[in-house]
Amino acid sequence: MRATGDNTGGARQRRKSPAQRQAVGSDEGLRELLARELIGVCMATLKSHGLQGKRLAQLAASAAAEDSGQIASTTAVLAESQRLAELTNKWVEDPAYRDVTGRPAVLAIQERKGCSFAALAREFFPERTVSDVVAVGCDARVIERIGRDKVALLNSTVLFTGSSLPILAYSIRSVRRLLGTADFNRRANSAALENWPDRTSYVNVSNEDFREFVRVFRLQISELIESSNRWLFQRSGLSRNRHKQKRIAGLQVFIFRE
Amino acid sequence: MVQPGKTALARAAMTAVEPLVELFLELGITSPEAESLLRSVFVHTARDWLTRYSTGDSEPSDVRVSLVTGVHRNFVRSILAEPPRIAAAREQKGHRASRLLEAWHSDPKYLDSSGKPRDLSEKDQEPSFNSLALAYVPGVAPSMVLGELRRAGLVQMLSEHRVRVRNRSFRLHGINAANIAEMGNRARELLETLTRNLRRPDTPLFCDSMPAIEVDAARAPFVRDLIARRAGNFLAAMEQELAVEASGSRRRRSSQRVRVGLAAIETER
Repeated sequence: MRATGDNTGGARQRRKSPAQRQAVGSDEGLRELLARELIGVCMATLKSHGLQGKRLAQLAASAAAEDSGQIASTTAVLAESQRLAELTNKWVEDPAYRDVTGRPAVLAIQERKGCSFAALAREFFPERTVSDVVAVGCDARVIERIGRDKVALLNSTVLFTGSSLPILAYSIRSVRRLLGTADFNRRANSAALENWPDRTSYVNVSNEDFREFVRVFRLQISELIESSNRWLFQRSGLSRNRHKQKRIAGLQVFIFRE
Repeated sequence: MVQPGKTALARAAMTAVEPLVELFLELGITSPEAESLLRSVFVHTARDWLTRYSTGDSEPSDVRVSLVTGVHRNFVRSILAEPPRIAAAREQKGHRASRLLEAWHSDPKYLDSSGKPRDLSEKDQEPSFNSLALAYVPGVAPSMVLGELRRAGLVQMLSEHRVRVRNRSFRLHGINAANIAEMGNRARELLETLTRNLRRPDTPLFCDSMPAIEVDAARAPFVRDLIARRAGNFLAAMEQELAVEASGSRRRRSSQRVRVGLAAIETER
């Protein structure tokens, strides 16, 4: 089953309560039901992170009093990983940091003639010591030490697996981006090519097939993300684009299971 | 008891056979395979030899061939039933290192977060090539396994004693019988598709290419690596997707079958 962002084909119809049936009668009522469900989904997720219902209600009320939609705390939580991702990006994409095989080179940690990890650390973490940045990179499983004085790139993706707060912050940013795309698409012209692509595939599968699905598509997704990242990185660095006003744009892909 | 003449003969034969053994090693033929081939050639040659020196016109019996070769007559019969070859039972189904290569591409311990095989430290740091070799080729020193893989061009040595895998399956590089056969098959597939498309333009097979680009020679390794990874991944994805179609077709067995494939090639001038 495939669906676009504005078509949830295949969703199972559940029996509606009398209040729901009445509400569905009008667009306004349906919108409120959907809003309630969106809040419910967010509340359930936040409860799974250890927040209690009463405190959540207070937080929801204070959030509702503002309407900026800013995510300053999320940005702060993700700041370090964001900078680590930018450091990695330069290591992967800048030809000066590649070895003779075309892959990211093993780098000397300390300053040397030519490229070093220290140069990257200074550019993206100017207030931290190089050894601190090495520790941050190793903890995030982005880099690995080679002997005493060199590092290699282990993963070009910063992983938060197993860390509740960064995962929560990452989810908030993802939800915001998803809602931003949905908002754009609801205002876009009905012509299919006017909107931003938002596609879904879903089918009922067994546990075994799901595991195989993850295995097969992990590599495909990584390749797609790497390809999109390269396109954006190279295009952003072109001299003709250097002084133009820019906003963050990208592509996010994830596997889900309901 | 070994006759003195046989010892001298064995020494002389060893000198003659050594270059052949080197050739077998080059071609990836194992000792059991070579022994099987030698036995088969021995039996066939013995029959020809006996025929040449027999007084009558008839071929020597299996029992007679068995007597002079020391091979049981039942085996003589089956060996003579076909041209000299390596016995199927002795034929190595895959090189021992194949298990290691497969594990390097599938064991989560040796993969990065995107599911690609990691570059490994030779032995200093875990997960290392040593631990991989000990786990998947037990009983052989990891340094020997590494030497064999390097000789076959299946791994690449990087700086800082790090090792990168280059292929998922064991195949010796260079000019050898298997690779020449492979070259012939590839060339035939391409020519068949091109010829078919000339003859039947109404139902062409896919054959397309991107416009060639010019890059700085210093950046060529990056571009080659990129093409290898993207195209390899694309072919793997197609294989997975078409496997579903193939399994469905197996259930609906019909008399008319076609073999469908897809190949990707990189060009460089």
